[in-house]
Order: sequence, then structure tokens, then C-alpha cells
Amino acid sequence: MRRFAPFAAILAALTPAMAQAAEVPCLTPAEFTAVSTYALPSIVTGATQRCTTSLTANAWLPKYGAQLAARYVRGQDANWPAAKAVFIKLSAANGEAGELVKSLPDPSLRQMLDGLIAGMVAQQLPLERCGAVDSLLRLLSPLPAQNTAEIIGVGSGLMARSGRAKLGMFSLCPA
Amino acid sequence: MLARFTGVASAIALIASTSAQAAPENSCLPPGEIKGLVAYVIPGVIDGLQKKCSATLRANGYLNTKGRLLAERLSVGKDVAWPMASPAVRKMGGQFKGKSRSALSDRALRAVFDAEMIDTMTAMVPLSTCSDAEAILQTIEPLPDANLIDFVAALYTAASRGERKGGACLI
Repeated sequence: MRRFAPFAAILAALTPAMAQAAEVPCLTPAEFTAVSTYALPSIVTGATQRCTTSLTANAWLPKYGAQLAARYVRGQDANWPAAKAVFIKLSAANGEAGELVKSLPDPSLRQMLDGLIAGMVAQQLPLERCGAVDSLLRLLSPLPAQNTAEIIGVGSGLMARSGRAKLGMFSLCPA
Repeated sequence: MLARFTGVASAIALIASTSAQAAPENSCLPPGEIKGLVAYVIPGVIDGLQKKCSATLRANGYLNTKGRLLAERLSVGKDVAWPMASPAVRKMGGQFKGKSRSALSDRALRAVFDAEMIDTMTAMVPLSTCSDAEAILQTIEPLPDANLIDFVAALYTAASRGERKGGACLI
């Protein structure tokens, strides 16, 4: 897991309250990729907020984080149906949250999730990970969001196979 | 060490760890040497993976259709990378025809390493890494060469940090 530690640190913060049920269902790598792709703009926004003051003056995130998040946002609509299905699956184990997720109109649900994810990353990303997050996002920034999320998905699939089937609060289904 | 790597990085790790078996303890690699090593071996790794995995992967999949092109693209940087890679290769130690490899000329060392790399790739990379390697390569292929190499080097660094032979130095 150390290999993906910066992503894991971000994704550990990416834990909507609805996923805090006793039995959170596991995610397949494809589901994990769908959530990651959708969440990337909020993750980048949260990481930029969190890390800007602790990074050096020539760091990448403070200069380009907002620009990257804006580019990733452009792919969110296409990914929303797949991501929504995962959010519904995750929230189903928590009665109230499950009902809330199913009852909200999409724009309201998305607004809530985007703010929740960015806020949690901004609050919970360990500051000592900021350098690694800055470096990884800089290196991968030329990629489309889908590719970056797939790297996370492939990594999560490998960890599931090696028995380390947990990334943050998300359980990954054994392959 | 191998289990902690993904696809391409696992193949590079295999070359490094196999080659480093004769290395002295605590022969760690600083960031520049890791970057040089990755840049130098990655075209051969991709080419080797393509050959090794060809029969087990889809004929119209990424590695079988575009792997060679990616290897050719990245091989442009090999000559520039070698001066950074050679100190790492020397640290791996070992013998060649009864002579210490570290005593070989730079040119001879490079030739020996190239030949060993192909042998290692052909003999030891497990077929189980093929699909992961293909997925990773297809995903990172759009990156500029420098980013792609730095990303793989970062994976190698994160996973090998603290290894006593051929791992990234603790900084």
C-alpha cells in the first residue's frame, strides 16, 4: 500500500458520511475507478487548499491545482451515472444516508458530494503527504482524468489480489 | 519486493534485484541513479514484456499492437540516461568472465548489462504480470517521456525504499 500512499491518503479522506456504516460493501476495481474519476476534481481542489501553505514556493499544486481541477470537471458529467451507482451501493448499508442519496435530485446530490469530498480532503490529508501528492499530480497532470483514475483502479486491484484489500475506508473486493 | 510493484515497475525491479544479488549490503540508489536506471531499461523492459506476453495477451491489445512503438519512442533517451544509470549498474556488483563487473569499461559494462537484461526479462518475468503491465502502459502512454519515466521511478522509489540491495536510499 505504501506504493500508493499519497493516493491512499487522499482517498482515506474521501469517505462520505454515508459510507460510515458497519458493513460497507466492497468495491470492484471498475467501481473504484468510477468513483475516483468522479471525485478527482474535488480531490485536487481539497488537496490544493490543504497543501498550499505547507508546500515550497515553487511547488506545482498552488500554481496549477485549480487549473487541473477545472479540466477534470469537464469529464464529470459523462462519469456521473457510473459513480452515482457506486454511491448508492455504498450508502445502501446506512438507512438514512441511503434514503437521502436516492431521494436527492442529481444536481443537489452532486453539489453535496463535491463539497463533502473537497472539504474532507482539505481537512484530513496529512500535511506530510503534500510533497508526494504535489509530485504525483504534477507528473500525471497531462493525462485525462479517466487515465489517472485507472492507475488508481489498477493499483487497487493489485492490492485486492495481494490481500491488502482496503484503501482508506473503502474495502476492495477480492479478485 | 516484487509483490509490491505493478507491471512495468515489477519488471524493472526484477532486473534490478536479480542484478543486485552480488551487490554489497546497503548499496542503495539515490534519486538520480534510479531515474537514470528507469530511463535506460524501460525501452528494453517494454520490448521484453511484449515478447514474453505476446501469446498470453489479446492480439489486438495495447502491448501487441503498440508496445513496440512505445519502446522505440522511449529508446531515444537511452544514451542520455546511461551516464546516470551506470553508477547504479556498477553498484550491482557481480562477475563477468571472472572479472569484477565494476572493473569493466563503461562500454563493456553497458553491453553486458544489455545482454543480461534481455535474459532476465525472457526467463524470469512471470506471465501473471502481463495484463497488469499492459493496463499500466496503456494508461500512462499519453504522458510525455519525462513524466512517464519520473512516474515509474517514483513507483520504484516508493516500493524499494530501504531495501538493502538496489533499493532507493533513505533520504
